[in-house]
Amino acid sequence: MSPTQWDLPVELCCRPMAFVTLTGLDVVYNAVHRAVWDAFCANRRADRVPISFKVLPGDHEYPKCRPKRTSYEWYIPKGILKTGWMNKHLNLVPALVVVFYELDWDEPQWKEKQSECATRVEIVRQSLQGRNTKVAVVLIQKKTPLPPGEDVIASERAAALCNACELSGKSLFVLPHTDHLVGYIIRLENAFYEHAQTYYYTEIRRVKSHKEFLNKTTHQLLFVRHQFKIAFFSELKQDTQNALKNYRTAYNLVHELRAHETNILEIKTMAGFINYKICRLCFQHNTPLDAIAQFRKHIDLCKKKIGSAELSFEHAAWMSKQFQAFGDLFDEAIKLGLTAIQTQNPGFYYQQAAYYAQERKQLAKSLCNHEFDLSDPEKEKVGVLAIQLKERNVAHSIITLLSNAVAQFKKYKCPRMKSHLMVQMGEEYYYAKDYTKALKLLDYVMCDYRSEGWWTLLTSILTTALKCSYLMAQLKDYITYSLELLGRASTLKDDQKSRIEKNLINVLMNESPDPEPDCDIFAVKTAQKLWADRISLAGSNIFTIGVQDFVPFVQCKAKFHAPSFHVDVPVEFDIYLKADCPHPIRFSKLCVSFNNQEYNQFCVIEEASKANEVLENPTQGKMCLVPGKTRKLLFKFVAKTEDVGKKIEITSVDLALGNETGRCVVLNWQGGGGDAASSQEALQAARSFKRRPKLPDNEVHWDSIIIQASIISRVPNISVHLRHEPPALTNEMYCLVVTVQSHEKTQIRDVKLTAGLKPGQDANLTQKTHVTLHGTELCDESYPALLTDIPVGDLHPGEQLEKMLYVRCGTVGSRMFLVYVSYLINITAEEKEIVCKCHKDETVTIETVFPFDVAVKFVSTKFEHLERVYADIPFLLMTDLLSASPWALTVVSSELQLAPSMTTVDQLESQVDNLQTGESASECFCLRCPSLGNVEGGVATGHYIISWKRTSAMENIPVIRTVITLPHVIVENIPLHVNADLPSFGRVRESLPVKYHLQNKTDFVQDVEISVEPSDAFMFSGLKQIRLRILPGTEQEMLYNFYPLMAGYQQLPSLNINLLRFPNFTNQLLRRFIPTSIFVKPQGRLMDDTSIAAA
Amino acid sequence: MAVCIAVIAKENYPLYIRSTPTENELKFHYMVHTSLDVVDEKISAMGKALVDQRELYLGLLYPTEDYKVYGYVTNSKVKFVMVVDSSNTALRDNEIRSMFRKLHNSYTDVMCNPFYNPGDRIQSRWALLPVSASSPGGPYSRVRIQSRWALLPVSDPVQVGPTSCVRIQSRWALLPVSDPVQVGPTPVSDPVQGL
Repeated sequence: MSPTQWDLPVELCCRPMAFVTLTGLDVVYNAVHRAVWDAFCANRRADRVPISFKVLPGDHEYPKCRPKRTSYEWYIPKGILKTGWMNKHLNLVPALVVVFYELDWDEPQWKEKQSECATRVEIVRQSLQGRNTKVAVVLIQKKTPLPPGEDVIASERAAALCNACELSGKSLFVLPHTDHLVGYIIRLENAFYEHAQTYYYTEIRRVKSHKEFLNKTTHQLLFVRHQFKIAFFSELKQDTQNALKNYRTAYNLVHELRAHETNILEIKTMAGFINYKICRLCFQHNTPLDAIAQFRKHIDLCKKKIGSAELSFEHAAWMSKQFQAFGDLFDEAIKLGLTAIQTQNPGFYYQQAAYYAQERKQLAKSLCNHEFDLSDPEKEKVGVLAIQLKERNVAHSIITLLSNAVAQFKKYKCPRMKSHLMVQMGEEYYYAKDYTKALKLLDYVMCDYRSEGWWTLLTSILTTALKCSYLMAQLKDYITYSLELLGRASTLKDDQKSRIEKNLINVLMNESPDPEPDCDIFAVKTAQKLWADRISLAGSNIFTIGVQDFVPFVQCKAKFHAPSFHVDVPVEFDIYLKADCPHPIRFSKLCVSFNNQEYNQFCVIEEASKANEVLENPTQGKMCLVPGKTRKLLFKFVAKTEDVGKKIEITSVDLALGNETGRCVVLNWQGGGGDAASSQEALQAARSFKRRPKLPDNEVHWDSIIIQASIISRVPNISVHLRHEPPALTNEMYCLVVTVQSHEKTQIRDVKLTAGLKPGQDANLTQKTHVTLHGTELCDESYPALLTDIPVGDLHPGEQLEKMLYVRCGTVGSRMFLVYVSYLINITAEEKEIVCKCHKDETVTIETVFPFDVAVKFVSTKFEHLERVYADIPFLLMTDLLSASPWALTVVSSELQLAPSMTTVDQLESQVDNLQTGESASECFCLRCPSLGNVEGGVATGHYIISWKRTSAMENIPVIRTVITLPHVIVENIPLHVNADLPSFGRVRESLPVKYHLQNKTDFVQDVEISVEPSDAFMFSGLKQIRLRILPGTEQEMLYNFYPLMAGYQQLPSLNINLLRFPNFTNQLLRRFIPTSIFVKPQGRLMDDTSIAAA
Repeated sequence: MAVCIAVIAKENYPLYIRSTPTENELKFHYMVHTSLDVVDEKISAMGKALVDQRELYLGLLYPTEDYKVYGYVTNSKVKFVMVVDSSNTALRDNEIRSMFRKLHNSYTDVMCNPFYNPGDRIQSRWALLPVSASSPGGPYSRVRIQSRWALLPVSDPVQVGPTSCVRIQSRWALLPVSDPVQVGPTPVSDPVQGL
């Protein structure tokens, strides 16, 4: 039984092409013939017609055609199809034989050549006796032929030649050996192809004609045979649609055959062939679903046709092959552009093929375990035994199939399916005794199952891996797998676990473990020898195993007692250990590592050093872990002073099993413990609302332990208070009183204060904030924003210290101020004197506001609001000072600094004093502005300077000068200025003299029209209407005598002035300067009395 | 009926897995595990669809030679996988759907049990679903009653505990009034749980 027995034959798997033989070509010695042959063979791309060519000598013997029987009456066929039939029609019996012959039309010895050619044709015909194979003649000519019909000799001779060779005109071709050889060859080829198709067509007809002679009872096999032949010829004819149709019919006929034990294999083989053809054609027609459906039907039909039970492995082998072949076809179709999906890809077929291959192996194992005994009398029996014996030596291709499937599933996003197949591959390697490869594969997929928490599957894989590592005596792997198989993730039964634990303890004591169950006996023997070697081998007996990637049987958690420790208090933490194995186990050493390695020495438990002083209760039982019980180990140590303010972190926990004299395994937990499964468990525990059962005091429930592995530094024991009166006022020397009180039990030294603007705020704030310790002088730009390390001295316990700081804020807004006090203290901790540096900081946010608002306005001498002032005419400047500070302010003085353009009318004197919140102070200055011509944007007025301080501020605090720039004012010239001279009041029936002064402010002589409107309240004397001229720069006086008639606030007779040169000069403007009304007092009675008396 | 039933947590670890031919349990475990490939793919494809239009039933995941694997995913991404014998033609899509619905109801009942911590493996002596077709009481009759106040099937006339035949509405509905400490999801008084 050759390994390829189940492989499909080549002639079935290839694409059938028309077979054409070329004779009369001497491809070895004749260059022209060689070129012709090359043109036929080379570049056979898809656009050329599908023909397979072969060069044969002219006298080649083709397979003999058997005489055709005229009747099938007594014919009983021996099988479905003859073994060589497909090959015969693909490679032996041509559809067309072409005779090449060198002959030009103008050949001088034409007669002789013609008869030689005829002889050659005759020889070929002889050899093809009885077949329908066509014959064609190609004349190789040196000259380019003339167009048809022009060469009379040619057509004559061609006809003669056809006659001589008994050929039809269509079978004679001319091949001029010129430049365009390939073109001619392609035309020839197409002609050959037509001939070949005719040949296959007649073959199909011939086979079909047999049908009528058949009967269903005796010729069942022939029905299949003929149908298959028709289909195959159709394929050769490239008629794939009909081929598929006929194959389908043939397939149905195969299953109608009567099956019995002797022919079941033949039927299955034939069904497999036809099925292969159908699937192949379906894929070719781009109907993959048809192919899949056909294959499913095929498998469903054949699955149960096992045949002889003793040879059931043959069935499995056949099934495996069916799946593999379909997988190959599918894969090939994908390569040609078909798209497969996750749930329908070749991987499934390869996987199934592998499954049947495994089954075949298992069946063979159970059936073929006997010695070959020839004495058996029955020949059939002997045959079966022979086959079974051979099956034993078959090299199985399961691994190849599996790896094919893995590649497919990888492509179609099936990671779990891939892992599963890799497990199977690993197991196959294990059976094949290639343990290294098996272990590599199993190890690769283990973490996938572990991370997804499929413990049953993980356990099964681990069990196989443990066997492999045992058989190879791989110490580290053996220990690792044992650790995990004993752990909580393992689903093994307790008896299994205790066996593994026993083995593990043996290994740790440098002894050989017992062999794993169900291992090959020979392999076990080798393994035992290897283990014995390992024992004698010295050195490299310490194995460090990182547990974060798997689930060992010892769980570990570390927990600090508090999130932070004072440096004078020892740092305490617990290590919790829990074993999940069935029997108690001893460990030899436990050490904890920190980010600061100096602490490592304090946190070690070792078997040897029993009296370790840092241990709470150093007993022997500590080193023994009882299954299911949580063991708590307390550690403490004093932190170094240089670690104040830093974090102490447990970087790893190492637990040593076994001892260094035997073998030692160090389990290494990164961080504060925890392995591959613990994060999920912690999550579950956090979700749980279950009340945990009460446990004795010294035991803890495992799930409630939370790993916490970092601490912070010592807490200072002083108080820092800030006293101040917010908000701060702009530019003032703001006083901040810092009070530091020590609550430490001993004296503290080297107290230093850092105060000022907290760094990291807006850069502008730094430039506009200044801090000083001396409040008596104003600080300027040179002062810093933060005073650092101001030495304050020492403080006794309970002593209090005050320090004043002055802050000057140049801009409004809020600022964060930082006060940071640091000091040194001597402490005794665990009988050691240490100097400890502590610090405390305090921050405060202070708002800065303006102390007051200043409003400035210009008014006329009549206290009317002015938008502009008039040149040379006096006006008033009023300042309003509104206190915005919540604290009382003392305004020391105010000062008006006038711009050079302005002049005062009278003395400038300060009149302001203290201001409470919300109070306001106003000042009024009478100013005059000489004419300056037209100034763009107005004329500068000057500055207003206020000197002030807080009323509450101490004497020595300097006064702050706040300078306010006064607004600019627009100055305008007027042509005529009028002012009136009149008393402050009048009296009824007493004359009231009023003098109007009209000043010409221009350089021209002005014509002025003046009129006085009469008023009900007054009689008057004077010019009622006048027109006069005023010379430049001079003044005209108008005198009126008003005589009031009514008492009260009365409207004066209004003065109307009209300037002929300046029509814009209106009475409206005029009224700004002259009063429009006056208060008239009633006539005094007393006066009357005296006048009467006088009279 | 089904040969194997599995309930798989959101994080893809098995909460419950049971098969009838117990001798080849491992094979079904692998089958269920590999089917998660397809479930994952289907869920990610479904993620684009609107939530309220989502179909929980995923249909046939993949066919093997002898079995058919069906999938179902709840809104909380808990997956149900059911393996059915290929030869069992009586089980059509509708039957599978209704089996999944029953399984979902049973699972909801398990979740309603205040003594069950979501995410724990379901430790039940009885299957969530009858594996053989001949079970008169439907899936409920096989649900394991884990405590005196646990799952009480509506159709089942068995009187268990003080609150028989009451449909469990919430996880906290059936707590005994006499024990105040266990009630409610916020046991603040217990310092251990506060961690």
